[in-house]
Amino acid sequence: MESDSALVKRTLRGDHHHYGVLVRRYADYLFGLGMRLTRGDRALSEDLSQQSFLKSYLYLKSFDLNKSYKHWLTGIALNCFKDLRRDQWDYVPLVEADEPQLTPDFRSDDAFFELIRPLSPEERALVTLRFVYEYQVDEIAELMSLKSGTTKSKLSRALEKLR
Amino acid sequence: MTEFDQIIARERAKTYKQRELEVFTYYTVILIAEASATSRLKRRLGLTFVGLALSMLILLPLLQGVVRAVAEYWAGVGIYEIGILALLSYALAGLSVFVISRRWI
Repeated sequence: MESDSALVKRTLRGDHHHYGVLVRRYADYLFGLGMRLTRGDRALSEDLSQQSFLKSYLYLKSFDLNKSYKHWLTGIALNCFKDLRRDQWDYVPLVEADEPQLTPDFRSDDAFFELIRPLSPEERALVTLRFVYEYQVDEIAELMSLKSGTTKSKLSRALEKLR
Repeated sequence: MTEFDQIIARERAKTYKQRELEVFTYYTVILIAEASATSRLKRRLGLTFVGLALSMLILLPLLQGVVRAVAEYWAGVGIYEIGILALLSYALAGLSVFVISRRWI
């Protein structure tokens, strides 16, 4: 399997179809992240993952090939989530077509979505990254463009809300 | 293990999947290609505009002399010269049409 950085290098050389491999590789990961951030909104999660891939392609030149592509993509997805929140009043989800449901309904076990219900979108992102994806506080701070101390205090405030 | 830990552990174990991975990938790659073509076109249009503006800046002083010479020439032209020029123009146009049609047949 070709590495992420090799595929990025090829894409930067002008063969943008190589980016399709990366899209396929991380589509489910970004969709999952989107589902957790949006508390199970499938349409919004699909939109979020698509926007993240599009933005990541447009800013691909700024990607440091020595760093993790997945980590960089996560940062972009979080930024897209922030933008989406800003525009959420204008957002109208796509009308669900009458197509067969190929995957199970995720709402059958929505304990996690219920758990994070009292949290603000930012706190939701912090809790998801820290506890579900097991990122370190410093990594979360870097991903969300926050100071380490601010991240820590915001996280403890979010946990207090959950108690 | 608290209830919080249990919910988190269950969530960690869960995997989410796109409804139609192939369709999603295909559509996203198309969007990427479209975005890349748009930015390339914008860059080219910008370059063309700058090139045209620069060449106009360089050529304008040269063209001014030519325009003045043409204006001076036409000031002294009579009906006879105009007739000759019209004839020459039609002959050139006819010749061009003939050559083009021969070439395309």
